[in-house]
Amino acid sequence: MTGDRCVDLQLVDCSKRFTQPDGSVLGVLSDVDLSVRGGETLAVLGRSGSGKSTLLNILGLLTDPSEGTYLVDGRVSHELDEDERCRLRGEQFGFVFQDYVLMERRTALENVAAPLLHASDAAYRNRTAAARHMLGRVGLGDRERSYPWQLSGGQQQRVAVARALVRGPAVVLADEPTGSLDIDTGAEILDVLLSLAAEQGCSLVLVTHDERLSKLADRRLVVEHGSVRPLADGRAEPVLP
Amino acid sequence: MIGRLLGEAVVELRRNLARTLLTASGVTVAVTAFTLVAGVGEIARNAITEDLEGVGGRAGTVALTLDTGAPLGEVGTARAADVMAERLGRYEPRARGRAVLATSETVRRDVAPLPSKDPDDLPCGSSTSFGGFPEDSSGGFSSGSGQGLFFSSPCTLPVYAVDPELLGVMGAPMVAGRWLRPEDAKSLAVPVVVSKALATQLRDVEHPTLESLLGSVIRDEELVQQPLVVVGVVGDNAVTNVLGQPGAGFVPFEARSRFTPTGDRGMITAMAVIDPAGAERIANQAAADARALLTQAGFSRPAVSGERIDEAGALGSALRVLDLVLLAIALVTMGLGAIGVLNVSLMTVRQRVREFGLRRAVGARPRDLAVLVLCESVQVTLIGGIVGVGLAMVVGLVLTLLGVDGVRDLGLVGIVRPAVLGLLVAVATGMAGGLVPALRAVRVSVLDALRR
Repeated sequence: MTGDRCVDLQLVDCSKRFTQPDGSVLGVLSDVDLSVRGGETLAVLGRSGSGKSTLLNILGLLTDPSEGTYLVDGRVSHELDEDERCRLRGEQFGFVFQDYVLMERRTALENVAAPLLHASDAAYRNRTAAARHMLGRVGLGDRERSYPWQLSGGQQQRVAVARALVRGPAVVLADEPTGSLDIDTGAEILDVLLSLAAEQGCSLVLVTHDERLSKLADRRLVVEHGSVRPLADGRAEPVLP
Repeated sequence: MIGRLLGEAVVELRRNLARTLLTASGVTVAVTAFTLVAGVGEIARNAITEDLEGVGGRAGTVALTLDTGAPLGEVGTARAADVMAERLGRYEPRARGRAVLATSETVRRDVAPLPSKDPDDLPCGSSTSFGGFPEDSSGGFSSGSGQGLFFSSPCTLPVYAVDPELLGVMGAPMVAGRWLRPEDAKSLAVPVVVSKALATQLRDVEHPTLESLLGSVIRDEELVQQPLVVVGVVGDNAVTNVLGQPGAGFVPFEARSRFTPTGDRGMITAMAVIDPAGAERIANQAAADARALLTQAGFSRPAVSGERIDEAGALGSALRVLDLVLLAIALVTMGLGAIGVLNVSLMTVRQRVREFGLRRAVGARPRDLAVLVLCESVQVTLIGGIVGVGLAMVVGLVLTLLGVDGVRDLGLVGIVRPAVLGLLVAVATGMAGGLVPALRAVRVSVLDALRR
């Protein structure tokens, strides 16, 4: 399960605009240049609506930039067909969402095993054991048959973390993974996420409001007015809402 | 991937047992109704097919006929018959063809005359030679009802020397007893199958002989007294249309010389059942081939004609109506079932948009989601279909046990076609009902889904 692949992500002059229901165009990101090197941990801070999640979605191939180029391990995202995009998303990326996004009618074990449905034959055959292993690593070895509604918020997010890591992705994209949790539980989750990401050798892009937690990352960025700029350690930028 | 998605669909259905059972039960009712209707249709189809094939032979029956115009002798007859059968045999994908040697001999039994309104109804095709038949006038014989013309002359009835395969060609059911077998040719007392009309004639004969069958045309005293064993009775209609004569006797082809030692056996006919498409063309081609071969073999200007002799046209149109009715019922059933499945599936897809977004995020392709939704709806309808077909079979069994007319003839084999049709309707229902939801699932925007 340990990911030994390092994938470099690079945004070059990327902008993202959305067309509003009233026809007006909303610019979210403009001329963003960003590199994520294999194995590094990157924290992205910013106010609500600043474009942090959009940046993460572009990195995770969930959407394309309106302008500019996004290179995934040297491949231009615009040139990927849908099948290739899905394959890359499944193999190279793991997602952790703020509100967990677990399948309600599936047990914790089945939720963790879900990404392996699209994995290689060998990984698919071994999916239950792999999922069980990951659940154990996030401390839920005894809750594998529990359904999401039977788990606390922290436990559900642990399941989501296990699901993000079960295929051994090259990059984990976490969109405010502690946003729905209390401080202590959030810290625990982040601790689990960081340690497992480090253990698997994968990159971690962490979107958060919490500047304190962001300091655990190797590098910090702030998204403001559609631009992304680095945040030097020790500088108290007014990034929190 | 299909196997994996099928597995996912099974889990999904198990986790939503109530929804699954409710949807499946609707399909069960529809498929039960359809299978029962299809079963009734099968009974009607069998009856129509049996009637029409009994009259005109099986669909695609073709015949080569050689009118020698002169006695060929034993060797010549056998040779000509073999050549014609071989030619026709080249085009016989559906049944074996074999020479049928036809003779016409006179039955000289005195029977009570039977009134008839129309000489054309008469079994021998000639009002001057009809001797009439006793009380049984069914099966295509005289339709007299006690008034009209009376005939009292002896009737000419043919005796056919045939291969056992002829019954398969005629497609006619036995009325009683059995048909001829290959080993019959070697029997001391020659087995004979007779038409119903002839059976009536022979009914009162205590020890039938060749004379009982052929009358006194054969002069050989020893031959005339040869004992016969009537082993079976075949319907008259099949004989009428396939061989061109009503009422007949059938003896083994290999034993033909024991009946007509003079070698004068009238017309030689080879018949086969072939693919109805192009049957006329094949019959003509086979006739031309046979003519050429017989000429090469030393026959002088052999008059071989080839033609299609069945009544598949009538069979086809009758069955086409039946098929259209069944198709209409199937479509209505499928439509009702599909609407139910569509309703539930659409609601389910709407509820699972977030799940679909997640699945896309972890690597599912749009078509994977479509296949997943289709698998679920097809599985539900298949479950409903299997239960429905089972229920229909139980109903059929009960009707059989109750002795309802026609149902007892359906049998286990007869239910296979309706059952298969029922399952196909179920699967088609699942596909139709799942198609729109599957397309909805494909169109789910990952980002919109995850934001919900």
